[in-house]
Amino acid sequence: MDFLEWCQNSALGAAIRHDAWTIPAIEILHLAGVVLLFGSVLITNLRFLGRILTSEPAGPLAADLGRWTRAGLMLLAVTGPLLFFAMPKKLFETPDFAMKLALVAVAATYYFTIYRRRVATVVFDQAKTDYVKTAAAISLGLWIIAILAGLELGAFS
Amino acid sequence: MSLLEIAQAVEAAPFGTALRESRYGFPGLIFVHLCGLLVTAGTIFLWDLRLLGVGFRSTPVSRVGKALLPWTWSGFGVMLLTGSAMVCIEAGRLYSNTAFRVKLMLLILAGLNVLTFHTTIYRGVSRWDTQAVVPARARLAGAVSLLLWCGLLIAGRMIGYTINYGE
Repeated sequence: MDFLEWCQNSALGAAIRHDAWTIPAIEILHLAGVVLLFGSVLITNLRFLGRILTSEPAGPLAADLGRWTRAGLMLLAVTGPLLFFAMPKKLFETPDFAMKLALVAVAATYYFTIYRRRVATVVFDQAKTDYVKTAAAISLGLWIIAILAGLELGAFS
Repeated sequence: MSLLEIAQAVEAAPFGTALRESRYGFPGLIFVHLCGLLVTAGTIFLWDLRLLGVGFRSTPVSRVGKALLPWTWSGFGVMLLTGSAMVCIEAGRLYSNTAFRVKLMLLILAGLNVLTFHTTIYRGVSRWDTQAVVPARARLAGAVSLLLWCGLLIAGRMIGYTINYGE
């Protein structure tokens, strides 16, 4: 637990805790990042699964919304560690915190490896192939599980 | 009976009391409220990005609207139900909470923005449906909506930090 101690006592952690409004401000940005991530991931993958915007070519839509997925992820990648530095011990005292982090890691890893490779093969409307559909269903499911775990952490602690 | 007295009566009523005293009542409601928020705000953000010309540029505006709107309203229904239940838990204390008052005002403004948009510029959408950059008034509606929903996010989070439990 030395690492948690070190985070907690770091200058960064102290700076974030110093002003009472810094943590709420970072939390709000974190939530905005989740909203952006969820919205873009939901619409992109519903399109791949043929449930929404079926008259639109899937490839350009995915490329377009993918920018916003990654913008949301960037926001999360900055604000998440800041919140962690401010209160690492408190977070690790909440139930299953490490497992929730792992769920986020799994969803992000799948997205940046298998999912993106498969989606890149989609040229206009060949999205009906099971190859992409499977990846879309898995990725959407993984993101929803990871996000729900995060929401649970925010709501119950 | 003043509004404050009504709020205090709602808080004291059996429904609010039962939820307040149940261990998972409030966190459970917040959790579902946040799930609704993701769907509602997620689709509203994307819709605003289309109006601002920075997302979905190649998709006709009305098609984006038709695809997203059912999701937006479903999420909003969930938020309205869980939000109302949370109000029942602490109506008396919310009455004087600034963040809660701001949140209600922002919600009304967001509603007015949607109403204005749909009764004016959006009526002529067929003229600019396929444009990547839509008319200035539609862009303005998108920008206002985006700002109002950021405000709602902020005000909502601040209720939890500022509500006075005064025990």
